[in-house]
Amino acid sequence: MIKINLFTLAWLGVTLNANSCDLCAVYRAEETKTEGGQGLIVSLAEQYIPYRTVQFEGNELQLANPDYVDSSVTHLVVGYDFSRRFGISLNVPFHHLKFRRTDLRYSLGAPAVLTTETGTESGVGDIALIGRMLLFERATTNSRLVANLLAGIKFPTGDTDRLADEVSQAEIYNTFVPPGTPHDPLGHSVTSVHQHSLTRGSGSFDGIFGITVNGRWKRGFLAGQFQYYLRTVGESDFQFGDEWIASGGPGVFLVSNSKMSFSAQANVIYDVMGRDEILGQRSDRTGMKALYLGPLLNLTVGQQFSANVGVDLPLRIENNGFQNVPDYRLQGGLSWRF
Amino acid sequence: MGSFLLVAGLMRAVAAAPKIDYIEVFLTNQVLIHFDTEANRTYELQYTETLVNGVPGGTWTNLFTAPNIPFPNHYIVVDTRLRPQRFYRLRATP
Repeated sequence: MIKINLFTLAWLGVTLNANSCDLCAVYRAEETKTEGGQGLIVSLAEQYIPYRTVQFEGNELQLANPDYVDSSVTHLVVGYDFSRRFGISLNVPFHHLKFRRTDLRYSLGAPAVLTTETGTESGVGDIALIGRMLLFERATTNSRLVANLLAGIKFPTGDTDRLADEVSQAEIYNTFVPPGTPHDPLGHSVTSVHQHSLTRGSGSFDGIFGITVNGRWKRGFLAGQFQYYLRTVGESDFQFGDEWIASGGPGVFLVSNSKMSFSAQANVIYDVMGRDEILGQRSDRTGMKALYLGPLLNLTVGQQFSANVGVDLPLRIENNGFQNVPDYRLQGGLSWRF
Repeated sequence: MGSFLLVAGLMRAVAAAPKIDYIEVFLTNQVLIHFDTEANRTYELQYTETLVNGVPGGTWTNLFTAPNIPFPNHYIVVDTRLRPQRFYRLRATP
Protein backbone atom coordinates (compact mmCIF):
# COMPACT_ATOMS: atom_id res chain seq x y z
CA MET A 1 0.00 0.00 0.00
CA ILE A 2 1.23 3.42 -0.84
CA LYS A 3 2.34 5.34 2.19
CA ILE A 4 0.42 8.53 2.52
CA ASN A 5 1.86 11.79 3.75
CA LEU A 6 -0.64 14.03 5.35
CA PHE A 7 1.24 17.09 4.27
CA THR A 8 2.92 16.62 0.96
CA LEU A 9 3.19 20.32 0.74
CA ALA A 10 5.30 22.86 -0.97
CA TRP A 11 8.32 24.32 0.64
CA LEU A 12 7.46 27.89 0.22
CA GLY A 13 10.21 30.43 0.18
CA VAL A 14 9.99 33.92 1.45
CA THR A 15 10.16 37.41 0.20
CA LEU A 16 12.78 39.69 1.58
CA ASN A 17 11.55 40.66 4.99
CA ALA A 18 11.41 39.36 8.52
CA ASN A 19 8.96 36.67 7.58
CA SER A 20 10.73 33.34 7.42
CA CYS A 21 7.84 31.23 6.17
CA ASP A 22 7.02 29.76 9.50
CA LEU A 23 4.40 27.38 8.14
CA CYS A 24 6.73 25.90 5.54
CA ALA A 25 9.01 24.24 8.03
CA VAL A 26 6.01 22.98 9.94
CA TYR A 27 4.55 21.45 6.81
CA ARG A 28 7.70 19.55 6.11
CA ALA A 29 8.09 18.38 9.65
CA GLU A 30 4.75 16.62 9.26
CA GLU A 31 6.06 14.47 6.42
CA THR A 32 6.86 11.65 8.79
CA LYS A 33 3.40 11.51 10.22
CA THR A 34 2.29 8.01 11.08
CA GLU A 35 -1.09 6.41 11.15
CA GLY A 36 -0.98 6.28 14.94
CA GLY A 37 -1.32 9.96 15.75
CA GLN A 38 0.72 10.79 18.86
CA GLY A 39 4.37 11.60 18.65
CA LEU A 40 7.24 14.05 18.81
CA ILE A 41 8.59 15.48 15.55
CA VAL A 42 11.92 17.25 15.15
CA SER A 43 12.83 18.93 11.91
CA LEU A 44 15.77 20.86 10.59
CA ALA A 45 15.13 22.84 7.43
CA GLU A 46 17.10 25.29 5.36
CA GLN A 47 16.05 27.98 2.91
CA TYR A 48 18.64 29.72 0.79
CA ILE A 49 17.63 32.68 -1.32
CA PRO A 50 20.08 34.92 -3.18
CA TYR A 51 18.52 38.32 -3.70
CA ARG A 52 20.85 39.57 -6.41
CA THR A 53 18.35 40.61 -9.04
CA VAL A 54 17.59 44.33 -8.86
CA GLN A 55 14.26 45.52 -10.18
CA PHE A 56 12.43 48.81 -10.46
CA GLU A 57 8.65 48.50 -10.73
CA GLY A 58 8.90 44.94 -12.05
CA ASN A 59 11.66 45.58 -14.59
CA GLU A 60 15.12 44.09 -14.12
CA LEU A 61 18.04 46.52 -14.07
CA GLN A 62 21.69 45.96 -14.88
CA LEU A 63 23.71 48.04 -12.43
CA ALA A 64 27.46 48.39 -12.07
CA ASN A 65 27.68 47.70 -8.33
CA PRO A 66 24.28 46.43 -7.24
CA ASP A 67 23.28 45.91 -3.66
CA TYR A 68 22.56 42.31 -2.68
CA VAL A 69 21.44 39.99 0.09
CA ASP A 70 22.17 36.28 0.32
CA SER A 71 19.65 34.94 2.79
CA SER A 72 20.00 31.67 4.66
CA VAL A 73 17.35 30.76 7.20
CA THR A 74 17.63 27.51 9.15
CA HIS A 75 14.49 26.40 10.94
CA LEU A 76 14.47 24.14 13.95
CA VAL A 77 10.96 22.80 14.42
CA VAL A 78 9.92 20.80 17.44
CA GLY A 79 6.39 19.52 17.22
CA TYR A 80 4.10 17.23 19.07
CA ASP A 81 0.97 15.56 17.76
CA PHE A 82 -1.50 14.87 20.53
CA SER A 83 -3.59 12.82 18.13
CA ARG A 84 -4.27 12.59 14.42
CA ARG A 85 -6.58 15.54 14.83
CA PHE A 86 -4.45 17.96 16.88
CA GLY A 87 -0.81 18.95 16.99
CA ILE A 88 1.43 21.84 17.93
CA SER A 89 4.84 23.04 16.71
CA LEU A 90 7.47 25.50 17.87
CA ASN A 91 9.44 27.00 15.01
CA VAL A 92 12.79 28.64 15.79
CA PRO A 93 14.45 30.32 12.79
CA PHE A 94 18.15 31.17 12.64
CA HIS A 95 18.96 33.87 10.13
CA HIS A 96 22.25 34.41 8.37
CA LEU A 97 22.22 37.28 5.89
CA LYS A 98 25.21 38.35 3.87
CA PHE A 99 24.71 41.72 2.23
CA ARG A 100 25.96 44.90 0.68
CA ARG A 101 23.93 48.09 0.58
CA THR A 102 24.68 51.67 -0.44
CA ASP A 103 22.37 54.29 0.97
CA LEU A 104 22.18 57.87 2.17
CA ARG A 105 22.48 58.47 5.88
CA TYR A 106 20.69 61.57 7.15
CA SER A 107 21.33 63.78 10.15
CA LEU A 108 19.72 67.01 11.31
CA GLY A 109 22.85 69.12 11.16
CA ALA A 110 24.72 68.14 8.00
CA PRO A 111 24.06 66.93 4.46
CA ALA A 112 23.26 63.24 4.04
CA VAL A 113 26.28 61.03 3.42
CA LEU A 114 26.35 58.17 0.93
CA THR A 115 27.71 55.09 2.67
CA THR A 116 28.28 51.50 1.59
CA GLU A 117 27.81 48.82 4.20
CA THR A 118 28.98 45.26 3.66
CA GLY A 119 28.50 42.60 6.29
CA THR A 120 26.40 39.86 7.81
CA GLU A 121 23.42 39.66 10.11
CA SER A 122 23.11 36.46 12.11
CA GLY A 123 20.99 35.21 14.96
CA VAL A 124 17.63 33.97 16.08
CA GLY A 125 14.60 35.40 14.35
CA ASP A 126 10.98 35.57 15.40
CA ILE A 127 9.85 32.32 17.02
CA ALA A 128 6.44 30.98 16.05
CA LEU A 129 4.05 28.67 17.84
CA ILE A 130 1.65 26.95 15.48
CA GLY A 131 -1.26 24.64 16.10
CA ARG A 132 -2.70 22.09 13.69
CA MET A 133 -6.20 20.71 13.44
CA LEU A 134 -7.35 17.99 11.07
CA LEU A 135 -10.38 19.37 9.27
CA PHE A 136 -11.28 16.51 6.99
CA GLU A 137 -10.04 13.06 6.13
CA ARG A 138 -11.51 10.47 3.83
CA ALA A 139 -9.72 7.38 2.58
CA THR A 140 -10.32 4.35 0.40
CA THR A 141 -7.93 1.65 -0.76
CA ASN A 142 -6.70 3.73 -3.72
CA SER A 143 -7.39 7.26 -2.66
CA ARG A 144 -7.26 9.71 0.16
CA LEU A 145 -8.29 13.31 0.76
CA VAL A 146 -7.01 15.24 3.76
CA ALA A 147 -7.41 18.85 4.83
CA ASN A 148 -5.72 20.57 7.75
CA LEU A 149 -6.01 23.95 9.36
CA LEU A 150 -2.94 25.64 10.83
CA ALA A 151 -2.94 28.73 12.98
CA GLY A 152 -0.40 30.34 15.23
CA ILE A 153 1.38 33.34 16.59
CA LYS A 154 4.76 34.74 15.73
CA PHE A 155 6.49 36.33 18.69
CA PRO A 156 8.83 39.35 18.60
CA THR A 157 12.01 37.49 19.58
CA GLY A 158 14.29 38.56 16.75
CA ASP A 159 16.57 41.58 16.86
CA THR A 160 14.94 44.77 15.53
CA ASP A 161 17.80 47.29 15.63
CA ARG A 162 17.73 47.75 11.87
CA LEU A 163 14.03 48.49 11.86
CA ALA A 164 14.51 51.09 14.58
CA ASP A 165 17.33 52.68 12.60
CA GLU A 166 15.28 52.78 9.41
CA VAL A 167 12.40 54.49 11.19
CA SER A 168 14.76 56.99 12.84
CA GLN A 169 16.11 57.91 9.39
CA ALA A 170 12.55 58.36 8.14
CA GLU A 171 11.82 60.60 11.13
CA ILE A 172 14.80 62.83 10.37
CA TYR A 173 13.78 63.10 6.71
CA ASN A 174 10.21 63.89 7.73
CA THR A 175 11.38 66.91 9.67
CA PHE A 176 12.79 68.30 6.39
CA VAL A 177 9.58 67.83 4.45
CA PRO A 178 7.14 70.75 4.60
CA PRO A 179 3.96 69.81 6.46
CA GLY A 180 1.30 68.35 4.21
CA THR A 181 3.71 67.52 1.40
CA PRO A 182 3.00 64.03 0.06
CA HIS A 183 6.07 61.82 0.13
CA ASP A 184 7.02 58.20 0.56
CA PRO A 185 8.04 57.28 4.12
CA LEU A 186 11.12 55.65 2.62
CA GLY A 187 11.83 58.75 0.56
CA HIS A 188 15.10 59.17 2.40
CA SER A 189 16.47 55.95 0.97
CA VAL A 190 18.09 55.31 -2.42
CA THR A 191 19.05 51.67 -1.92
CA SER A 192 17.44 48.52 -3.28
CA VAL A 193 18.18 46.75 0.04
CA HIS A 194 16.42 48.58 2.83
CA GLN A 195 17.13 48.13 6.50
CA HIS A 196 13.83 46.29 6.98
CA SER A 197 15.09 43.70 4.52
CA LEU A 198 17.91 42.83 6.89
CA THR A 199 16.03 42.69 10.15
CA ARG A 200 15.79 39.39 11.99
CA GLY A 201 12.69 40.41 13.86
CA SER A 202 9.61 42.52 13.32
CA GLY A 203 8.96 43.50 16.91
CA SER A 204 5.34 42.51 16.39
CA PHE A 205 2.99 39.74 17.41
CA ASP A 206 1.75 38.39 14.10
CA GLY A 207 -0.98 35.96 13.19
CA ILE A 208 -0.20 32.94 11.03
CA PHE A 209 -2.95 31.02 9.26
CA GLY A 210 -2.91 28.20 6.77
CA ILE A 211 -5.06 25.59 5.10
CA THR A 212 -3.57 22.52 3.48
CA VAL A 213 -5.35 20.08 1.20
CA ASN A 214 -3.81 16.89 -0.08
CA GLY A 215 -5.54 14.44 -2.39
CA ARG A 216 -4.13 11.14 -3.64
CA TRP A 217 -5.36 8.68 -6.21
CA LYS A 218 -3.23 5.57 -6.70
CA ARG A 219 0.32 6.85 -7.35
CA GLY A 220 -0.69 10.38 -8.21
CA PHE A 221 -1.42 13.19 -5.81
CA LEU A 222 -2.43 16.83 -5.82
CA ALA A 223 -1.35 19.11 -3.00
CA GLY A 224 -2.39 22.67 -2.33
CA GLN A 225 -2.03 25.14 0.47
CA PHE A 226 -2.91 28.67 1.38
CA GLN A 227 -1.05 30.76 3.95
CA TYR A 228 -1.86 34.15 5.41
CA TYR A 229 0.49 36.21 7.57
CA LEU A 230 -1.37 38.92 9.44
CA ARG A 231 1.12 41.56 10.47
CA THR A 232 0.65 44.00 13.32
CA VAL A 233 2.51 47.12 14.37
CA GLY A 234 6.00 46.32 15.59
CA GLU A 235 9.30 47.99 16.38
CA SER A 236 9.12 51.81 16.26
CA ASP A 237 5.62 51.61 14.75
CA PHE A 238 6.96 49.81 11.69
CA GLN A 239 4.36 47.44 10.29
CA PHE A 240 5.19 44.88 7.64
CA GLY A 241 2.52 44.37 5.00
CA ASP A 242 0.33 41.32 5.25
CA GLU A 243 1.38 38.43 3.07
CA TRP A 244 -0.54 35.59 1.49
CA ILE A 245 0.78 32.64 -0.42
CA ALA A 246 -1.14 30.13 -2.52
CA SER A 247 0.72 27.13 -3.82
CA GLY A 248 0.33 23.61 -5.01
CA GLY A 249 0.52 21.23 -7.90
CA PRO A 250 0.39 17.64 -9.06
CA GLY A 251 2.85 14.96 -8.05
CA VAL A 252 3.57 11.28 -8.36
CA PHE A 253 4.99 8.62 -6.06
CA LEU A 254 7.90 7.21 -8.05
CA VAL A 255 8.70 4.67 -5.34
CA SER A 256 6.28 3.48 -2.76
CA ASN A 257 6.50 0.39 -0.64
CA SER A 258 6.34 -0.59 2.99
CA LYS A 259 9.90 0.64 3.68
CA MET A 260 10.08 3.91 1.83
CA SER A 261 8.46 6.33 -0.57
CA PHE A 262 9.85 8.83 -3.02
CA SER A 263 7.69 11.45 -4.67
CA ALA A 264 8.13 14.29 -7.13
CA GLN A 265 5.85 17.26 -7.42
CA ALA A 266 5.52 20.21 -9.77
CA ASN A 267 4.83 23.17 -7.57
CA VAL A 268 3.40 26.56 -8.51
CA ILE A 269 3.60 29.36 -5.95
CA TYR A 270 1.93 32.75 -5.97
CA ASP A 271 3.20 35.05 -3.25
CA VAL A 272 1.69 38.47 -2.52
CA MET A 273 3.36 40.82 -0.04
CA GLY A 274 1.53 43.96 0.94
CA ARG A 275 3.13 47.35 1.33
CA ASP A 276 4.86 48.08 4.62
CA GLU A 277 3.75 50.94 6.82
CA ILE A 278 6.28 53.32 8.34
CA LEU A 279 5.21 56.06 10.75
CA GLY A 280 1.61 55.41 9.82
CA GLN A 281 2.23 55.77 6.07
CA ARG A 282 2.29 53.03 3.44
CA SER A 283 5.44 52.89 1.37
CA ASP A 284 5.21 52.41 -2.40
CA ARG A 285 8.78 51.18 -2.28
CA THR A 286 7.79 47.93 -0.56
CA GLY A 287 5.67 44.92 -1.40
CA MET A 288 5.61 42.64 -4.40
CA LYS A 289 3.77 39.88 -6.22
CA ALA A 290 5.72 36.86 -7.36
CA LEU A 291 4.98 33.70 -9.32
CA TYR A 292 7.33 30.72 -9.02
CA LEU A 293 7.48 27.24 -10.50
CA GLY A 294 9.71 24.42 -9.38
CA PRO A 295 10.16 20.77 -8.54
CA LEU A 296 9.76 19.40 -5.06
CA LEU A 297 11.16 16.00 -4.12
CA ASN A 298 10.28 14.11 -0.99
CA LEU A 299 11.69 10.96 0.54
CA THR A 300 10.30 9.07 3.50
CA VAL A 301 11.95 6.09 5.13
CA GLY A 302 9.73 4.04 7.35
CA GLN A 303 7.56 6.14 9.56
CA GLN A 304 10.39 7.91 11.36
CA PHE A 305 12.36 9.84 8.76
CA SER A 306 11.73 12.11 5.83
CA ALA A 307 13.84 14.40 3.67
CA ASN A 308 12.90 16.91 1.03
CA VAL A 309 14.49 19.27 -1.43
CA GLY A 310 13.02 21.77 -3.82
CA VAL A 311 13.75 24.84 -5.86
CA ASP A 312 11.49 27.70 -6.92
CA LEU A 313 12.29 29.50 -10.13
CA PRO A 314 10.70 32.93 -10.58
CA LEU A 315 8.43 33.23 -13.60
CA ARG A 316 7.41 36.80 -12.88
CA ILE A 317 8.05 39.21 -10.02
CA GLU A 318 6.20 42.50 -9.91
CA ASN A 319 7.79 44.59 -7.19
CA ASN A 320 6.97 48.09 -6.07
CA GLY A 321 9.72 50.66 -6.35
CA PHE A 322 13.40 49.76 -6.25
CA GLN A 323 14.06 46.40 -4.64
CA ASN A 324 16.13 43.26 -4.80
CA VAL A 325 14.15 40.14 -5.64
CA PRO A 326 15.06 36.42 -5.49
CA ASP A 327 17.21 34.89 -8.22
CA TYR A 328 15.77 31.55 -7.10
CA ARG A 329 14.79 29.87 -3.85
CA LEU A 330 16.38 26.64 -2.69
CA GLN A 331 15.07 24.63 0.22
CA GLY A 332 15.60 21.32 1.90
CA GLY A 333 14.91 19.65 5.19
CA LEU A 334 15.19 16.59 7.38
CA SER A 335 12.55 15.36 9.81
CA TRP A 336 12.53 12.69 12.45
CA ARG A 337 9.59 11.31 14.30
CA PHE A 338 9.96 9.75 17.73
CA MET B 1 11.07 66.51 -15.77
CA GLY B 2 12.57 66.09 -19.21
CA SER B 3 11.05 67.70 -22.27
CA PHE B 4 10.67 65.82 -25.55
CA LEU B 5 12.07 66.61 -28.97
CA LEU B 6 10.68 65.01 -32.12
CA VAL B 7 13.54 64.33 -34.51
CA ALA B 8 13.08 62.43 -37.78
CA GLY B 9 10.11 60.59 -36.43
CA LEU B 10 11.87 59.47 -33.25
CA MET B 11 10.94 60.66 -29.79
CA ARG B 12 14.10 61.48 -27.84
CA ALA B 13 14.13 62.45 -24.22
CA VAL B 14 16.11 65.57 -23.48
CA ALA B 15 17.53 65.86 -20.00
CA ALA B 16 16.22 68.82 -18.12
CA ALA B 17 18.62 71.39 -16.77
CA PRO B 18 19.29 70.76 -13.08
CA LYS B 19 17.40 73.18 -10.91
CA ILE B 20 17.23 74.04 -7.22
CA ASP B 21 13.53 74.24 -6.38
CA TYR B 22 13.82 76.37 -3.29
CA ILE B 23 15.79 77.06 -0.14
CA GLU B 24 14.18 77.52 3.23
CA VAL B 25 15.28 78.33 6.74
CA PHE B 26 15.38 75.31 9.04
CA LEU B 27 15.67 75.26 12.83
CA THR B 28 17.99 77.91 14.27
CA ASN B 29 21.19 77.52 12.27
CA GLN B 30 20.32 75.56 9.16
CA VAL B 31 18.76 75.82 5.72
CA LEU B 32 17.09 73.17 3.60
CA ILE B 33 17.80 72.99 -0.13
CA HIS B 34 15.19 71.20 -2.23
CA PHE B 35 15.69 69.78 -5.72
CA ASP B 36 14.36 67.05 -8.00
CA THR B 37 16.53 64.60 -9.89
CA GLU B 38 16.02 62.53 -13.01
CA ALA B 39 16.80 58.83 -13.27
CA ASN B 40 20.30 57.69 -14.21
CA ARG B 41 22.04 61.00 -13.55
CA THR B 42 24.44 62.07 -10.81
CA TYR B 43 23.88 65.48 -9.23
CA GLU B 44 26.32 67.62 -7.29
CA LEU B 45 25.08 70.37 -5.04
CA GLN B 46 27.84 72.94 -4.62
CA TYR B 47 28.29 76.20 -2.79
CA THR B 48 30.52 79.21 -2.81
CA GLU B 49 30.79 82.10 -0.40
CA THR B 50 32.39 84.60 -2.73
CA LEU B 51 31.15 87.01 -5.33
CA VAL B 52 33.24 87.74 -8.42
CA ASN B 53 32.15 90.91 -10.16
CA GLY B 54 28.88 90.72 -8.32
CA VAL B 55 28.23 87.14 -9.44
CA PRO B 56 28.73 83.98 -7.34
CA GLY B 57 32.07 82.53 -8.36
CA GLY B 58 35.52 81.59 -7.20
CA THR B 59 35.90 78.17 -5.70
CA TRP B 60 32.83 75.96 -5.64
CA THR B 61 32.77 73.28 -2.97
CA ASN B 62 30.77 70.06 -3.10
CA LEU B 63 28.14 69.97 -0.40
CA PHE B 64 26.20 66.87 -1.41
CA THR B 65 26.21 64.30 -4.18
CA ALA B 66 22.94 62.69 -5.22
CA PRO B 67 23.93 59.28 -6.57
CA ASN B 68 22.98 57.89 -9.95
CA ILE B 69 19.83 55.88 -9.28
CA PRO B 70 17.39 54.34 -11.75
CA PHE B 71 14.38 56.41 -10.74
CA PRO B 72 13.49 60.09 -10.27
CA ASN B 73 13.78 61.39 -6.74
CA HIS B 74 13.41 64.48 -4.60
CA TYR B 75 16.25 65.49 -2.31
CA ILE B 76 16.28 67.77 0.68
CA VAL B 77 19.76 68.73 1.77
CA VAL B 78 20.43 70.37 5.09
CA ASP B 79 23.23 72.91 5.44
CA THR B 80 24.39 75.21 8.22
CA ARG B 81 23.89 78.99 8.00
CA LEU B 82 26.69 80.23 10.17
CA ARG B 83 28.42 82.24 7.42
CA PRO B 84 27.44 85.72 6.20
CA GLN B 85 26.46 84.43 2.75
CA ARG B 86 26.43 81.21 0.76
CA PHE B 87 25.39 80.64 -2.86
CA TYR B 88 24.35 77.25 -4.23
CA ARG B 89 24.35 75.60 -7.64
CA LEU B 90 23.34 72.18 -8.92
CA ARG B 91 25.26 70.24 -11.54
CA ALA B 92 24.22 67.03 -13.29
CA THR B 93 26.12 64.40 -15.23
CA PRO B 94 25.63 63.08 -17.80
